[in-house]
Amino acid sequence: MNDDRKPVLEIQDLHKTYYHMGKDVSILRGVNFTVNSGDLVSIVGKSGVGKSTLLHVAGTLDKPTSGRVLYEGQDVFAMSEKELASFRNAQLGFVFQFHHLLPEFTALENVMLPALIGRIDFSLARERAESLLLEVGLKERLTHRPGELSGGEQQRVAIARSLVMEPRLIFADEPTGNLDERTSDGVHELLFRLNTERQLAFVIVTHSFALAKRMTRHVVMRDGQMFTQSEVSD
Amino acid sequence: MRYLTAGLIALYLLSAGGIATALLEPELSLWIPYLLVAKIAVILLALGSGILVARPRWTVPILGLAAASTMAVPYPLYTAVVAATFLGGFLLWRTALSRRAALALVIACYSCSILAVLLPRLDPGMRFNVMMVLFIVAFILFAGVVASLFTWLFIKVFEALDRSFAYSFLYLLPLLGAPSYLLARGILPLIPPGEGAIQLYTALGLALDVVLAIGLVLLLTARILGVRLGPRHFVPLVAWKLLRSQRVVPTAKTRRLLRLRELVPQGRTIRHWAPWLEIILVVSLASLTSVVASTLVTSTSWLTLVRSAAFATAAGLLMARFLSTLGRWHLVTLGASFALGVYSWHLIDRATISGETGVPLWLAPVLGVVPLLLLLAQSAVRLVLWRLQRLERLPARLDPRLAPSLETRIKEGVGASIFVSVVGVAIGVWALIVVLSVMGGFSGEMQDRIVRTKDHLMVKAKDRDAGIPGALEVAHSLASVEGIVSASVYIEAEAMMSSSSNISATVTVRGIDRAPASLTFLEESLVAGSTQLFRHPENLVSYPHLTPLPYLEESGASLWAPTELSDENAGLMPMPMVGESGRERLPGFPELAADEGDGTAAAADQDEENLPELAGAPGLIAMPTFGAAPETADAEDSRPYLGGSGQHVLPPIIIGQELARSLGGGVGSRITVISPDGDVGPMGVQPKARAFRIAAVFSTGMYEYDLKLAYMYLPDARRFFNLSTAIDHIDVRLADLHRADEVRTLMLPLLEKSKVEVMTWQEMNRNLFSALKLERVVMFIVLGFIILIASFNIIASLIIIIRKRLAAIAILRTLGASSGEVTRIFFMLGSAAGLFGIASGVLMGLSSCGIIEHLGLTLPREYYIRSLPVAVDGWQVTQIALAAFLITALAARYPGRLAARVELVEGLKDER
Repeated sequence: MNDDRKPVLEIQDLHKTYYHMGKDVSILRGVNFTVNSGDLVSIVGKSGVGKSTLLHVAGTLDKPTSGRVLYEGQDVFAMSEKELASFRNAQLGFVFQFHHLLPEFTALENVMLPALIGRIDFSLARERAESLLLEVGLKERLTHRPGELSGGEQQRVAIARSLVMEPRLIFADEPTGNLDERTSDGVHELLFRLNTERQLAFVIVTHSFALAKRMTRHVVMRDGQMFTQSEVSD
Repeated sequence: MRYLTAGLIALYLLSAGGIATALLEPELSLWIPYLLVAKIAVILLALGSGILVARPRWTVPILGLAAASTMAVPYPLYTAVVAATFLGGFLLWRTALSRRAALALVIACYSCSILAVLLPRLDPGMRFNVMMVLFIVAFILFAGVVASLFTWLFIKVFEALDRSFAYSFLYLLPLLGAPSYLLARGILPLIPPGEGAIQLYTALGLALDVVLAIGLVLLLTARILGVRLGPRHFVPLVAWKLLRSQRVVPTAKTRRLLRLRELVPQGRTIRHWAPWLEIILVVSLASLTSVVASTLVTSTSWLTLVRSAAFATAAGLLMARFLSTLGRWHLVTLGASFALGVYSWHLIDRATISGETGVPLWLAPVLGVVPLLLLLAQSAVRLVLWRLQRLERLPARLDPRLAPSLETRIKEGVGASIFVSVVGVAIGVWALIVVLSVMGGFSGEMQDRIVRTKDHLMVKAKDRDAGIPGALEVAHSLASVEGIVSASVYIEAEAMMSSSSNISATVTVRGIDRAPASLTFLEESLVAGSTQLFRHPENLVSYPHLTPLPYLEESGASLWAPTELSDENAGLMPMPMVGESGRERLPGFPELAADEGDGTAAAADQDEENLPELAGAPGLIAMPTFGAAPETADAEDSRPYLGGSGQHVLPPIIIGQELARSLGGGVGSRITVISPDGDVGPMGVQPKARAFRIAAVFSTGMYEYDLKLAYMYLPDARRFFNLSTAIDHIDVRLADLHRADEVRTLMLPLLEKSKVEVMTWQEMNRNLFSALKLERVVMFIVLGFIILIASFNIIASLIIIIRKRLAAIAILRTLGASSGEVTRIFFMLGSAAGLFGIASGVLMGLSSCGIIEHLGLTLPREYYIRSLPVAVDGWQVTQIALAAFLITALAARYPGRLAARVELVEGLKDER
């Protein structure tokens, strides 16, 4: 770990327990890890070990049973619902397996959406979204709806959407899980490019060996615990 | 763009043609400057927007509307020409004229047509026919060019834009043709057909232009200033997008077509023609509807020819459309509305022009309006759904032009599922407005009839025997109070009436003053006889025989009839009797058998009774008998009805129409009034009876009054009822009915000395009015339940939408929308649905009320009101709209909260 890189996200002793059919089901059992700015962290593991849950809790989408999630030293779950919402809007980006674009909106509007939610002026939001779509190679697809885009294009739009508020940390849950190999490679390239160009930190849950292998750090989850945390240098 | 410009120029010429036509008609001259300015503004703006903005999306509907409003120039000839334009255009379009040649032709034809219109006006005659031919030929050529340009324009837009939008616009065209005619002649018949209708018609076109111009100015300003139109904040943006969202899945038919498509080699197939055919069809139908409607009004031979041609073409086009794989329901509605609309107007026109009705006339509006409503509804649905009905793009090898024509099924569409509840709200609001307006109309009508007949303010002595001391002076002083129109004294008593054939129930008899003010209000409701006859009852006996007056004068026997009487009564002559029963008896009056009334009168009556028998020979009436009557009639206080020769004339009485009918009498008939408290005789109190003669018959419209009210002169009443001196009532009439309470307080100082009570008309009829009010409140609540139920529909559909859009909600939250904002999105959706429903309900309600009012739904005789009265109360409509909005807004609130509670992680798992 390089000292000049500030820790963006710190997770301390995170527990998550679901109550199901009269029994407590423990998903996360004391997870600890830190993400520094510009980190590329992959979370790998078998199905059902709690990878997605970890991502959701770390991304403030779900509340932990116990433990703390600190962003630059601030405990996010101490915030009010509204503060948390605007924090998510301004600081975090998300990319999901099922891209979750709004089907009624064009690609451009989908990308603009976080900016609009963050009360950024419409024309500025539009400018930003346009340049981002240009950056992810969708110059010709601005007015297409998600239904009119291919899977790879959809995921690019989703990535552009996660970037529009210029966050420092992006969570991605199986970003290429639904794509064929060639398309996946394109999306991966895009992610790495963004990482190097913008010093963006990524936390990516993936099954893809090809992707994980190019990440700087790997987290292997097993039975709700962080099993390995290794750092790979390029 | 060049074509667009050319089309616009052509359109401009077309509009200018309309203005030129208007110039030639003097009755339209008023509108010309406005028309000119509006048209030019529209065209220039359309040009500007088309070229500057380079977004034909806005230009085309505007141009289309401008064209449609041009078509609204109310000249059968002109409309026919415009229609021919499109017909000829269909043919010429195929000949592929060059643009330059087309423009040259336009200009040439245009000048020719103006010439053709001008020349016959300057020199009517043989030249007229020649010029007419020239005119038609020229215009058909012109038409062809314009139509080709237009069609081209439409096609261009059709290809370039959202096709469903273009379709919905095209569907609007027939709506602009026929209904503007309908509006002018049907729904707004207040303005008689002819000049007024023409102005109205022109005004409609003008209004359209002005609205367009304003819209365009706003649009252009926004574009130039770079202002974005539409929601900027994400909450309304998402709500708006959701409202318009819809998932459409191809049906079996689509799939079949897709398979077929693969088999068909690329080239000219039906898909190539389908959209073109539809465009031509709709445009032609629009113009044809107006032309046929117009030709039916002024059906000359060559116009009939045009009509037949129009029908044939329409039929052909309908077939073409049917073959063109496009939605057959649209075909059915269009065809039906076209045929029925035309037929209905044909009926109406035939009736209004020649007065001949082969078919019941009520059929016409039904035939005309129902399909129109269908079409309106269809268009409304299309307008709402035009955006939603976008197919998720079909495979590339399918010609996209075919896409909107494929049968599609709506699935999971937000707009579609909310639409049902919108309809519910609309029906609720519509029912409320119509029912409450009709009820309001009823009670207004009743109130009107009551106040027309009875006192607005009644001053009544507390002690009846004492009466109001100095009543006449009191009444006189009251009349000078501000807000009081008149005050007149009267007495009231109960009596029964009998004729030879029937005996009435108890009748309230009012003894009224001879002052003109007492009679003014009565005068308005008289249906037979007159107050003149009431004043001069001596003329009554000869009343039915006044007709031959001139003849009498010739024979020098004019003495008995003062000239002013003959003048005043002239209008009443032909129909002196009331009701069917009365009419039957016209030839000879039903005379009562002489009753136990005083003997001398009876004897005199015997003389009078001979008169009807002489009716057949009017000149022979024994005039000298009555010769001296007028002189004595004005002597107030002595027995006034003695003829100069000492002969008795029966005192006059005015009774209601129903009473007259039940007694079987009319003006001039003799009836006997029986009072229960008569003189004391050897057998105790004996009923007193006296013969009166009916001087007039009134109809107030209130059954109660018409059956149980009678008026006689104060002295007669006094004498008859043994009310020697006392006058116990004063009837006060007001200028403004609603100031009754106010005026009462003004009156009180004048009445201090007398022991009287003053009642307003509301107080006198409190029971009736409160019952009516209660009824309306109950109806409001009952019909309000429809809205309530519809608002539950909104809740249900919103919940369904939320369940189906969990992912969208979750992603919005993930992107940083707060739960409050998510709540607001769905609240907006719900209230938008509510608002839309309310707006359409209000529109429907108001137009229904308008239709009911103007067409006049005839009521069965029992209701005593001839046609259904409607009184639309603006405040009441506002109340209804507000109440409905409150309910729907409350309903929209709950699902919104539900949406906010959606678990983020659950939503994100949703793969949809």
